[in-house]
Amino acid sequence: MLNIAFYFQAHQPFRLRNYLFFDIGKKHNYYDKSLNRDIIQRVVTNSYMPANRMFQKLIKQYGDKVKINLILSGTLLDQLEVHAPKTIDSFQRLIKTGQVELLGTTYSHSLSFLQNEEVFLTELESYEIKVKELFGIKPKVFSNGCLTYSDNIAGILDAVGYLGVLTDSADAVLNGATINQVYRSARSPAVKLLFRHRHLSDDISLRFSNQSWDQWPLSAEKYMDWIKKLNKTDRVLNLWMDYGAIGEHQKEDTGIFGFMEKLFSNMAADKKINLSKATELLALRKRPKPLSIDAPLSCTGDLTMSSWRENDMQKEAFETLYSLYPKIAMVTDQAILRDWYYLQSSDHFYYMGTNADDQHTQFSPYALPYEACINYMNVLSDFRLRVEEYLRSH
Amino acid sequence: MLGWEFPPYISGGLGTACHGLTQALLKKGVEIDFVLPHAQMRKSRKSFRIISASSVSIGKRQVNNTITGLDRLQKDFLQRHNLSGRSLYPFSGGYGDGLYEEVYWYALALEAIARTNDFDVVHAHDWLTYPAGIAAKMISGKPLFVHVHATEYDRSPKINPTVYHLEKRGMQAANMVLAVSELTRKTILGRYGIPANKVLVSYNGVATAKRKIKSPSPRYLKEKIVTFLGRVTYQKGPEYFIEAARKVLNVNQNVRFVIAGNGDLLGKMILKVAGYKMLSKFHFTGFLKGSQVDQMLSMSDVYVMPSVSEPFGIAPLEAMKSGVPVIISRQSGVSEVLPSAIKVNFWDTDALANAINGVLEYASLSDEIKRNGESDLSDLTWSKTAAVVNSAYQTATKPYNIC
Repeated sequence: MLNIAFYFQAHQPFRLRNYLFFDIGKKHNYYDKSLNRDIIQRVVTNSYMPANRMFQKLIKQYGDKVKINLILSGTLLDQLEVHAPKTIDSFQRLIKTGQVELLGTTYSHSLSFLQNEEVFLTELESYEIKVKELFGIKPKVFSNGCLTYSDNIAGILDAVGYLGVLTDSADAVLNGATINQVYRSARSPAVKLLFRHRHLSDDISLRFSNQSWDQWPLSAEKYMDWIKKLNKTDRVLNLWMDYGAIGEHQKEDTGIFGFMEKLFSNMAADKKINLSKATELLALRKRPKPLSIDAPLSCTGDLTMSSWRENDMQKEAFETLYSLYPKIAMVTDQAILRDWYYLQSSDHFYYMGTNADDQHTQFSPYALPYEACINYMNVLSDFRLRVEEYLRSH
Repeated sequence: MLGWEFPPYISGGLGTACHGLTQALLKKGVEIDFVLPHAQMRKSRKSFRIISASSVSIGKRQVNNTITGLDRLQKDFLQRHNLSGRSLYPFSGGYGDGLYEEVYWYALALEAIARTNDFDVVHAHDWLTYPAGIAAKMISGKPLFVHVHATEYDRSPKINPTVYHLEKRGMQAANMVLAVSELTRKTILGRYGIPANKVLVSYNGVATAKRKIKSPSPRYLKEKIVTFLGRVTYQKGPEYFIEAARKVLNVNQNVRFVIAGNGDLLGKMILKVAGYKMLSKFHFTGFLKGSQVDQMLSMSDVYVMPSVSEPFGIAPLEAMKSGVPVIISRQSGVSEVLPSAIKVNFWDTDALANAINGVLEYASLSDEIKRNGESDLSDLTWSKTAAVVNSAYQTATKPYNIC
């Protein structure tokens, strides 16, 4: 029996408006409201809503044979509440079926775990409050933005009640062992580790409509064949992708909806396949092997943090942001704390990337990485002034 | 008068200079037709007209391309271009990709203008208009003045041979070459081999009215602000600004640096600042519009122009008018007319850092510089410039003077 878990990550950051040097100290509205609204509404229309409807229908049809996992960032949920409240209802209905597991994540889709574990912890807590309020549940499995992870947070995850974590595969870590299994953290044995199958995930999310791909066009049958060819001893297959892959990155006219529907129908009907929620996987192996993950992993091309922390602009912006934490820790003002989260979204650093292999510009609201850096640093200057002013007056 | 910029069609100091000179010459009774590649407004007084080359019906070329210097261009690509039956060429008036092409058609437009208009002198500003100036001179037989606001040696470390050739042709064909500074005059003699008796220095002026900033920006940042305002290109020396900033920050944390402007080195400069971990002390504003320049100056405690090569440099004068103390490089023409400004060699970032820190920290020094600056400025009028130019016009148009 092969246990297959699909994970769909949905995240949108609060993109910054064009914030001028002259605005520093004067204006404290940092976000491009209309751009963010437009993007939310576009992605909701193209992807989240029709995909939700599709899964709702599949679950109605196949009952507990169809299960999926969702990762919804706090910054996305905040924006949906304002710009697309019906999508929140739709996610609520989906989660209420009991066939959809919501994973835990950082509120802002941040990389705080790299810099400050205390910040990371407060993000987990804020996120927990948010999903408790919206969905009435407490997540049991954790997945950081873009599957980033390293052992330094295993202890924190354990302490706040997470049983497992999903991250990306890395040959160096696995040292020849299969990724299609459950492991545990060598550092915190109570925390189980799940790894994404990169190739099979990307076949759908990145390559599905790529006509120069030698496997194009991809059919549900062909994909099922690939799965059948996996090693017989493999127990687990984790397929993680951006939720936007269904309908936004792969548009409706590529046939992505028909493909997904067919694939799920086939899997639901297949006696040797068990579509699973993440928590169900954790108990599959009685004595999971321990693994150490010292260097941080991510889902990007080279599996490292290079998309967000490679060039000097990224590094300095990142360090400047987190150098504010000792002051932030004394702030209770909700508006400042909200901005503190929103400014942490890893997207801001991604936009500053200069590595041509990544698709920085494709997803960036800026024409050039330098503009992203200038704008972000200006905002950060104002933010720092506000924090200092707050501490003076309280 | 031929020029590529004139307010409001302006992108740099050239437009400001053309405007200042024109206004002052008009006051001296000179009548001027100013030909821009493209202009929407039509000034039409008797004494001053703005002519848009875009609305000039272009006829058959009369002046040989070797004489105008345009033969260099023609070999490259101009054969491919024709007006396909139209008589108007749609100039953009910018500095974009089709620049050579516009230079070519601008010269042809000037042939047409020279055939139908009456004038006594042709005055061409910078190389873009030199071929047109030569063409107008050939058609009309009137004396040509070329006005050198910048040379190719000021623009980049790598000389563009086509631009150099057009500049040299213009200077050779001119009856008189006007240089905006002694520094530029030396370049014209040394690098272009133009006879000394043909090259006259005519410094730029500055509009005399003290700059009143409508609503000075309140100071939110507690640090002092050091401003670099100009294009972020090799010529302007942004690298030396950053190096000096680093040295200042080593001893004085109570300061922020602003690079206000755009240019091909912007990305490189931001990476350099990030490499020194100074991003939280640095701000990059991009290109600033007129009112934003005022706002920027009103926030500045010192203005730095570390240009590697600056034929003149009007920008520091604007800063001085706003009451901001300036530090300029010795490699700028404007340093010749500002005896009391602080001057350093652009490469000497120790001296630059020292000067910046001094002006920031010692109020008496800063006050002294501002006071002396005001008196320097009062000597720099466009009226003086216009007097020099007008007297050269008079000499050149005397009937016995055959150049």
